[in-house]
Amino acid sequence: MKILVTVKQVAALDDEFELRDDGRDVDEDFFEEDLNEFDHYSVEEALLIKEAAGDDAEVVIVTVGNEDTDDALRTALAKGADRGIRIWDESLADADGIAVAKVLAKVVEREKPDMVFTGAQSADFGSAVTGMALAGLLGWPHAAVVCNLEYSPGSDTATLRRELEGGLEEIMTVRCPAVLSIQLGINEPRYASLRGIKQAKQKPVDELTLDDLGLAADGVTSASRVRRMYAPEKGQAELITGSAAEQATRLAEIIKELRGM
Amino acid sequence: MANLIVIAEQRDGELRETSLETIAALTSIKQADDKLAVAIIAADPQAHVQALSVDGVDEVVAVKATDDFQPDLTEAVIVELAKERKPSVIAVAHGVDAWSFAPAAAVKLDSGLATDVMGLKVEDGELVATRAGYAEKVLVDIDFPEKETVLLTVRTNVFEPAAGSGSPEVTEMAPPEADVATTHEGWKPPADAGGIDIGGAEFILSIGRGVGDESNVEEFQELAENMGATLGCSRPIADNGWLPKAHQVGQSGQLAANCKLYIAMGVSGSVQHQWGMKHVENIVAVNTDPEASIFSIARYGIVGDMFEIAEELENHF
Amino acid sequence: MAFVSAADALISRLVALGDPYAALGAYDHMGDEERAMLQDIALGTRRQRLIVAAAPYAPAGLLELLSREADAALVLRLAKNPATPADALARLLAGNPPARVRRYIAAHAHAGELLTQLAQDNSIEVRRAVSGNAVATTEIVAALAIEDDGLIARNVAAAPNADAATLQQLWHVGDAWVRADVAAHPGCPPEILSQAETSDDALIRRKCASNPALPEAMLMRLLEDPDEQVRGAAVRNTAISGEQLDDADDPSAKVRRLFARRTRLLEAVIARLAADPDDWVRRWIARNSDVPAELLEQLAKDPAAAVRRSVARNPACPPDILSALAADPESWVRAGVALCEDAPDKAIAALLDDGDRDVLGALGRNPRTPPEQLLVIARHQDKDVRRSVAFNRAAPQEALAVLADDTYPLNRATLASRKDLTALLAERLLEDPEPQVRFAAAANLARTAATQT
Repeated sequence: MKILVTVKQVAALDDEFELRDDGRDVDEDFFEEDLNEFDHYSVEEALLIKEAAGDDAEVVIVTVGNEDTDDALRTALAKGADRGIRIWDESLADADGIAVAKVLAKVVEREKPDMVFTGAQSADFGSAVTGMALAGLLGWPHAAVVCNLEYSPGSDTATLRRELEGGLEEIMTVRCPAVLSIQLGINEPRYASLRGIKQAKQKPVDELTLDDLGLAADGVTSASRVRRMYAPEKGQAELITGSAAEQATRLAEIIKELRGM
Repeated sequence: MANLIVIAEQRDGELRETSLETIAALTSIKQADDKLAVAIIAADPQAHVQALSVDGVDEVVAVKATDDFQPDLTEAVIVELAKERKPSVIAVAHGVDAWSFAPAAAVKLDSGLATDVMGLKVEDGELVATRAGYAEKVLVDIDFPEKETVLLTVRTNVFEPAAGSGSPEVTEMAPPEADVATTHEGWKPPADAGGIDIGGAEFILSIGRGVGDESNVEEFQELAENMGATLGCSRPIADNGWLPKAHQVGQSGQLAANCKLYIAMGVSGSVQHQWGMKHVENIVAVNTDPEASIFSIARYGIVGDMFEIAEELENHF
Repeated sequence: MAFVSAADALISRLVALGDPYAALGAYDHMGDEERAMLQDIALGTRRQRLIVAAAPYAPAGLLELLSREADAALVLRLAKNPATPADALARLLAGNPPARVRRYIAAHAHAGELLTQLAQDNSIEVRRAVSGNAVATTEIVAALAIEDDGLIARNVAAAPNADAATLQQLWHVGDAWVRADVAAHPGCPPEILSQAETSDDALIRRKCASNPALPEAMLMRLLEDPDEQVRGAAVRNTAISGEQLDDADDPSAKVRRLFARRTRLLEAVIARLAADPDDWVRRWIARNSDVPAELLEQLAKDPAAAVRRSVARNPACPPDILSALAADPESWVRAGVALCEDAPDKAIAALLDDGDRDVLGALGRNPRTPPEQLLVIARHQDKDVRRSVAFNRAAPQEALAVLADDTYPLNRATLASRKDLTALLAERLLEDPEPQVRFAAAANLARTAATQT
């Protein structure tokens, strides 16, 4: 039994940032990088299934990224995943979710997992594309924004709930193997123990090239291209100025209006 | 002339209002000789035709199938429509259902794809979609080189729903063969909030380290009660034993899941705290430090002393 | 010389680690030579320099160094950073930065000397920031008050250094909001206070009633004001002593709540407030340390749990009442007892088997909790309960060692910032995966090395 979990190292921006010279992304000096928040939940869900199944289950973490993204991979391994796979080629520098999914599809064909989990979206761009595009490429059953999952390894269906708008949830069964995108709150992600963090450094990570996966660099095309990036005109809070009495008066008006008082 | 297609959606037999917003998004880039068709998959698609016959719609494509959401079926319909009509754009609302099928349909079509699109324009004859990035700190203009068809999911609450009434042509389309791998089993309604709790509260007054000492916490508790708010706090307050742990908002505390108005007083806005409340639509930040990171996610900001503001606020409730 | 060897050993360790966060933590406690080495580690890349320039925990010496660079992104961060020292701000200003940066400098608490120049800036935003800076001198404030700008007028009316002449001028030209703040200003001249006291505008009377320098006679008159908000402000004003507040029968519960918060109230007033029908009045009086034991005993049986909690948190609460409250059905009341450092052994003992996390968290902080129990709490399954032991000054080393291996990074960070951290634990935490932990551990080791002279 094998569960493959795809993860992403995402960047958060400082409050003040500068764009790259080509105007198509932010200068990476202003990035703070970390494992995508949603991925903590998808990794946890896989580990819970592994632990319930006993030792013969394997959790494999996959990421597409340069060597800096090893940190995200090791974070997931430190929590208890068994091994990692990292694929990189400079031609992927501007890859969108579709291009990344094309690479991941080759990894799935090679690894033949029983289940693939992804985060419901990434915290940086929130495109919510990679996981379900991967399912489309594989022709696998799929469901997005899963907030509850009942699945026992080896079973040919899983029962899940999808979190819809307004807190409504849909109960659904899905044929397995499947690609599921996992929502925040489905579980309570663990923190890695210090021992786990040490051990993660020794865990095997396969570093693959596009060539290893039988892909040509020009075969991994994106479905979109960034033409330009810019700061929105308004993103800052509307400042309520004046004396304290004046500010409080305005705030009271806002409260009463929003609360229908 | 170009074909534009909107995939309208229903849930449990009810048409989704967001379908009309998506129609409006495509109407905004529609040229005089373009044709806009709206497809609807439902057990009784004819029942939705009238609601979809709004300004700008030239055709409604009725696909008689089921009211259950089946991503595989929706993808098959999109592929079939694209094969038949070679549309330049296919759009659907950026809702949870679209998250399931839009990316899968895009790879099957080998189309362009942009999700959560909040603006559309045509530059030098090319479609350009605008979306946000890095937690809304930047905007990105996206184009789709060499793609004949572009699939878009459109952010909700951005475009005014299309209105008016037209008399579009109504065509029927037989549902295409699809290997449907999911089965709808039922619904689970949102948990009933009930009682005073952070997760269920619609109005939260939250205090942070700036509150200083325990008896000051009482003052804010009194203010919260007078305003009809639930009192929340950041971690240091709960760590000091000044409020029960259940009041703590943030990563090691509670998620303000149903909150509509969040007033943060003396909360600097650590990443952990923001996790529990950054999604709230109306955040008001009160802090003496104009550089506190809480201001970057607030809708309204007050640079000022939390005690003075609280004391003044007391006079209004 | 112990200093040389301890510091030398640490510096070689930090250089070997090459960790910018550990270097930042140790910096302030090191000599010039060592600082030069740490500076290279802390400021190695542009990303790192940007982080340091924005960090409120960054050593002033490093911020001063960064102010010598011409990088606009660094300049902006330094101007915003509250830790940036005066000489660095002066250097930033000398570089003719854009108005936005000048505005940040004008609002900076360390801007002192620079404000005279900034008060004449051609940008109104910059001058407004100067007028709102609490360190602006009387002269600067007076000069700005002449400007016809509503926001500057508001700032000046609330400026601590505004003098009587300036306030007088604002009283005559300002709108109601400005006049209200003038009436509340401790420097407000007496003739204006008299006008404010009898103003038709309740806001102005209320602000006048809150003036800490208000003459007693005026305050006594405002205590009888028909407006409850004015009376409330007068009750809050400590310009008269609690003993003079002899009439606590105000019809407004809001005003009586404010009475209950005053110290040195007359016994009869306290007794009336303790029997008030309003929960909040009893809640405040139950926390008041002037309340005699008999009344506290009565309030400890109050039907409102929040009132009983207040009794438990009253610093004057006698041991027998604390023991009784340790058996309260409401966990938040028991947690209040568990937080008391002077709770009797009996009360603490009664709480040791409590399953509630607020009670356990409070016990975890309490130095009176027996060491073996703190060890149990440090191993509790709830990460927030465990962290409480890291705040306990009497925590046994064994419990702290357990926290050094805690899976929750924040618990290790809290432990690492303890001033009494042993070298053994600090050494262990110096290579922690979490930057915040390494920073605090290095600061601890460096401080110890520096005191070993």
